Amino acid sequence: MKKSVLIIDDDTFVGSMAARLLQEAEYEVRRVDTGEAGINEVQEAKPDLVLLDIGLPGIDGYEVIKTLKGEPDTADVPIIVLSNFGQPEEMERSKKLGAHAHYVKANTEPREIVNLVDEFFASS
Amino acid sequence: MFEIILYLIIFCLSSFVAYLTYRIFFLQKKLIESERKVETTSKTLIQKHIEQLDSNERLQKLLQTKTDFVSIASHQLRSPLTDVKWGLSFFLDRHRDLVPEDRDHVNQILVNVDRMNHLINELLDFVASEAGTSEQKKDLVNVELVVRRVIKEANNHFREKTVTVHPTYNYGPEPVLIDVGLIEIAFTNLIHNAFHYTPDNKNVYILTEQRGKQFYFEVRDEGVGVPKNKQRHIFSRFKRSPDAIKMNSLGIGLGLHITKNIVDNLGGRIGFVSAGEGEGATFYFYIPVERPTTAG
Repeated sequence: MKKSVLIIDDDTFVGSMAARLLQEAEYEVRRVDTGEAGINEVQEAKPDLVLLDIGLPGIDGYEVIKTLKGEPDTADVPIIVLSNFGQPEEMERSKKLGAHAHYVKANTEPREIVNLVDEFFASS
Repeated sequence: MFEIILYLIIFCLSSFVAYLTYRIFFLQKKLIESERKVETTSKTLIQKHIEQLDSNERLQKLLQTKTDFVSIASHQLRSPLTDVKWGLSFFLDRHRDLVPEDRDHVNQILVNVDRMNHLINELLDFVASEAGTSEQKKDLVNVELVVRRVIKEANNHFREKTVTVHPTYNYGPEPVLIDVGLIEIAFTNLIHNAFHYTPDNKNVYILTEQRGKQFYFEVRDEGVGVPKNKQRHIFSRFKRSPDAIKMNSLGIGLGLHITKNIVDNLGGRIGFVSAGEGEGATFYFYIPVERPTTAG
């Protein structure tokens, strides 16, 4: 059974690259570009992992974590933040709200995304 | 005769009453004066207090504006860089059959993108390192976990190098109160430096320890060392030895300055020992910390 990953990112260029690489690594990938759409998708499809951007149009990534972690139905869905917001206090904030990890996009490369998703599933 | 005595008594009594009235009047006047003084003083005090509250509020607002600005600016600078970096690495991964020359060109762009990104990160660290006591946060953290995390991240960052890290954790896991963002930058800078300046197949030794009431952290490497004539300025801005520049062309010479800033601002002391060029170096710092669980 393929693991499913939901990418919530309004940078469609980065989002589509991550999606392609993850699909090639045998993950089932869905992609949305707003926080609202992301929440709906998680409620309906219950992905095995969410890759979440912080700077989103409408409600931002922090709100998305808060909403998902605040509802019993979606609280268990693990979230990894992948954003170019990455001041120490911002990374702390994501983690305090319940994100599994917070990575700065500009400090990573596309193929590292597959590695960290692999690592996540290997350790969980 | 009796009348005269009576008059005398009445006179004395009235004089005494007059004197008392005068004293009372005088005291009253003084009282009113001091009351007025108290009033003006308290008014000034209240005024000063309000002004202070005002300037504290203004300072807080200013700090918040600075934080917001740094956060937004770094995000806006990083976003286009990410697209370039991701796009190019994706392209390189997909086109393994590129002519070596073409591949070199694209790689060269990537190196420059990384340099730009490194500059942004270093500038952000610099801004953070200038944080005064009022801006520092107190987080309850296991510092050794932070060191472990930084080592893991550094091993990943320098995965092309074959430098072996040997950590010794003697400090213990009990949490301490410290600004975790700042201390993490300090660990990262010293550990990354050790990686940068240590040739392949050599070692880096890391130590955490309690020394008196202080947290002690040390990174010892078998790298290029610090030439004697450069040792005096090692913590100044933009001072790097030629060997250092050769081994880490991306840096701009802010790392150690930032680390010293942070350690100073946390009330600690930083230092280093190096026997000279090619002899490796040991960088260390002490930071006074509160350990709430063992304090009582």
